[in-house]
Amino acid sequence: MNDSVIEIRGVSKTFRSRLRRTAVRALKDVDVTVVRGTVTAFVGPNGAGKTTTINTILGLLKPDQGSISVFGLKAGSREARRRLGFQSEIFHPYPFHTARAAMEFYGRLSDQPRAPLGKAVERQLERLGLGDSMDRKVGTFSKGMIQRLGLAQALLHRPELLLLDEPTTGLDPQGRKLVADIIQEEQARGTTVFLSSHILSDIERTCDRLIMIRNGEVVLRQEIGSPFQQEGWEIEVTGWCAGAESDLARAGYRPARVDGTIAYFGCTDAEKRNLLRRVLDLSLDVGVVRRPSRSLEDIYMEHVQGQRRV
Amino acid sequence: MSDVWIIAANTFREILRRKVIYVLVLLGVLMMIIWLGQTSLMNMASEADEPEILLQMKTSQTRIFFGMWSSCTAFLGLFLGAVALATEIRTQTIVPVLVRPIPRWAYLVGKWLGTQLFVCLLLGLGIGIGLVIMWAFELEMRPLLWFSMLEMFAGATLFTGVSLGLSVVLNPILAGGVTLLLSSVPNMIELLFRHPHWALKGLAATVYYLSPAHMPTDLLADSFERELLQPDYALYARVIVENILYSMSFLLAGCILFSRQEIKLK
Repeated sequence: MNDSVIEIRGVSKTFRSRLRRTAVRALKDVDVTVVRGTVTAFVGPNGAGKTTTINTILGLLKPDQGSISVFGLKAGSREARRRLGFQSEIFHPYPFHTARAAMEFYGRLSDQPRAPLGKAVERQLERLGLGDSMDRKVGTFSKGMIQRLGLAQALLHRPELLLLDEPTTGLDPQGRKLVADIIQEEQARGTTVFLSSHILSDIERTCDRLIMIRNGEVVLRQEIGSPFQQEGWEIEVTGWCAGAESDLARAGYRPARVDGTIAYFGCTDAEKRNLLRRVLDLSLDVGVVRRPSRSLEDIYMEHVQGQRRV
Repeated sequence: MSDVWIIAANTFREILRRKVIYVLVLLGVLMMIIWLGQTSLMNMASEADEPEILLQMKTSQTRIFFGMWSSCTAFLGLFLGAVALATEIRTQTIVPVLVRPIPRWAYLVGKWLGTQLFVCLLLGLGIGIGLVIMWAFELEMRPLLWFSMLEMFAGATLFTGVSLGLSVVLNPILAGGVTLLLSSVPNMIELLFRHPHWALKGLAATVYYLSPAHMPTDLLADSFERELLQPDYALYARVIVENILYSMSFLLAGCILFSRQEIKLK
């Protein structure tokens, strides 16, 4: 059984002005695979091509080259659309609907039977914290409430694939946490999530795969979590003094950095045990022993500012 | 078909919330004010015991009312048809709809149906008012008037369908303009038909067949102001049906193009 939910192969897309005088290449030979049941983050700076990619997955845009399949079906086909839920960066509902009417409208367009729809609408609105505003006109909603409604409508028909384009835009920390919790709940239910976001802390918290795009090209594909850790060890030694420095130097160990009475050492797996023994022999205290790691932000900045390509 | 009805009902509700409706109400009030001004003249004719002049004034005023109302609704249909799609794309309300499993044609037909429903209800309201006025004025109801009313509905359908179909490929102003131009072509090329040069005659014939069918007589005026000796009802019915089919062909072409079109959001 093919385990990929989204398969993007060699997709390029160029936008041309009406008179074809200027051309902007939005996507260049993009390859993306989203595996079933994963939460994949799609990150990149503004204008990198994230929304264009999502719009091609939805079938709103057509690639100039390459192919896109969703559940093995042609992107944008009715069957593919039936199985996905989408929230755009800014959700655009009809302002004259109440939250309940908007949800019922989208639910009915998703082929949801009328009878259970009412209950499903209430359940999703409650889940997104809009229970008290069900019968309020959407036009009177705050930006955060509209975003919550956007997520609620994407979840309404219990899709197998959730495409979320910057779902936390305009949300307060409480709302962001709610979205993160919902993503985790959906993943536990078996939903595949493809999430475009700028908020790296949210991605670290919720996603297990990362795809980074810059200038329309995929520059990084990586697992989130342990892969961010590097080789070797970082050891923090407290009670540092000049005598200790000379003793350890004789044994071939020099601190990478000294901060007052705290020294930081870097060593390999093979060196770790010996170094720790010597430190303890000198009656120094070992503060922390850890794998050195880079944050997602470090990786993001490295790929976005630099020219690295993986 | 349920998708079409869902979109149509939503479009209808959306139109009811458009500011243009309030402009229309204002126009209606203005019409009534003009109307009230004319009724004072009618009172004078009545007091002067001039029944023929009074009848003429009543007939003329009723015809003007029907004419103005049908023109207003047809132009409103043209406007609403031309902006229906562009507004949805501009406000991006189209996105959460098109990502759902509905065919693009169903979306466009739903937009048309909702718009058409509104225009027809408005036209029906005007016709209802007109009939009440006719009853109050004790005017004779000629069979031709029924054809004239059908022509009004066909006109509204023509404007709505053609402008919506064109708005798939043209911006709303151009779509509206081209619709207006197409509907005026039959009147504009009459001279060309009489031109002695075969090429111009041929051009006139080509343009004639590409434009909507032309009603050979003013049905509304004939319903009130003169009596046709031999009204050709079959011809009138054919023109009405042809114009509805003409409108549907634009809508169909619009559906085909829209199904293949990219939705580029700003």
